[in-house]
Amino acid sequence: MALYIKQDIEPDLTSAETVKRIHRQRGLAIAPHPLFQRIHDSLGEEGVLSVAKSIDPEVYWDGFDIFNAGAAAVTRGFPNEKALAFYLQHQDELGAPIGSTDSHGGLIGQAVTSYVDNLPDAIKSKDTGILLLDPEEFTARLATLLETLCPKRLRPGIIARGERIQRLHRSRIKQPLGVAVVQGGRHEEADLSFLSLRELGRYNLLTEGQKTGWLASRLALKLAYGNVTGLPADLFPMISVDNKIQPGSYSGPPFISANPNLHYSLSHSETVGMGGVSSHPVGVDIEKVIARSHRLLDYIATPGEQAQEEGGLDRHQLVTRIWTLKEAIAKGTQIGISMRDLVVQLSRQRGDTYAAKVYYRGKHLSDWRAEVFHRGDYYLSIAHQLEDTPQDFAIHWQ
Amino acid sequence: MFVMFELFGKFYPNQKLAELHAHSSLSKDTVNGLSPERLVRIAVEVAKIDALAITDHDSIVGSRRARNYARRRQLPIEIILLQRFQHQVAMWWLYILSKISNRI
Repeated sequence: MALYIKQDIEPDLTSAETVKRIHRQRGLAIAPHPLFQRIHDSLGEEGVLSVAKSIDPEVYWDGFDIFNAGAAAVTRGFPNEKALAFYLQHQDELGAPIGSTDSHGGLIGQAVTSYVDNLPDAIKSKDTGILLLDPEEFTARLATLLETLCPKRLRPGIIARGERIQRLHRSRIKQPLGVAVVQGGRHEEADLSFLSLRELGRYNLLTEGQKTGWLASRLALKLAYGNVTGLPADLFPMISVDNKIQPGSYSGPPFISANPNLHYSLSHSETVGMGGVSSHPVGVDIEKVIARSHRLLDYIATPGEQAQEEGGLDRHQLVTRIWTLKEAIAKGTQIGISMRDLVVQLSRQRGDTYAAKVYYRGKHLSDWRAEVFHRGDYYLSIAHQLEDTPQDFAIHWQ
Repeated sequence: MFVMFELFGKFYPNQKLAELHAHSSLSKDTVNGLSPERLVRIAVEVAKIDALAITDHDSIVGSRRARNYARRRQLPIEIILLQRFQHQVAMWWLYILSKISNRI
């Protein structure tokens, strides 16, 4: 990296020649993420030392990027730890210690270089320090930023890209609701730029089989969030989808800490993800139609619930349809259908619209309204609490 | 000022903060990046930093745009004119890979 230069320097020169031209402009030369081997333009130890040990008086380092927050998100290889050890070993030849974020999506200020008075003088005299930002503090600041860039204008709306497959709820209903569906592809080819650094760290810990569905559901939730709040897609890396960990469980309902007052739900099945965001309790579920045990239908649906369904559906389709409806409602309650004490009683209204009563340990908890859709091999359901039903919303297939 | 952890180096009570590595939408390896102007705004309003370097690959245009924006609005931030280089070996690899993929 060439700091304080006045004119462009021709690319594709050798490292030594580039550094020499930087210094001829009285600029400063810094090696970015020098030992991050997964980045193709990292110099590596040999590349760094070839400049550091040059006998040419114009070829030397002014600074060394010890902590790179982008590299820190990668759990393998420990590039920052290696860089610090390498710096301690060669610090007389590597210039000032530098910390940086390496942001590609606006998440700046996570790792910074501290100095007093004048930055170039501080770098030349190695009088710098590396500071790391506390993630919770950043989240708090982020909420302020989002309010600045996207004033509170919760609205039902249309996501910028994607095919609009159906408009729902033409009746008079009030609250904003965003729903998005994302068809995932090969995760190796995915553009990960919508993930925050925290999410990128988590993504790297997933198994290969988990990655596509995880990505699709996260993107779907962020698209739905953008739909409701007006957050543009280029700011998606600034929000993180987290989980409220429930007692006795390793997971829990999703939420976006930048906007804790909204309600969130996500689901994925194989490579397709679905997300729902609303100002009121909401639940979504998506399931692929696959062969299931014949006894499952009797387990999840009462004879009355089975009888209200039309003919023409095979048993596997019927199971999936009812399952997604009940699962979406159960997710919306944030209790979860795995709880034995939760009972969801479906009553078909017309077409694909259902009313539902939820009972918890025999006591009536809430009334819900749910919609189910059949798209390709999948059933998708959206549920919302009946007291404040949404005014109008569209579901989008990305 | 943010709550921050001191990792390494020298620290002073009246120190300033510099972000020396941020890409804008003009960087060829950034898909959904922010414009240089928006990055400056975030740097001032959210990150609260005193100096910002926009490290777009092989171009100084983003830095210049950011500096002009900060000057026009009289924002309290130093924009460092900066250029970022691809490593030559990497460029050779990209060249070779592009040839191979063309043959396929």
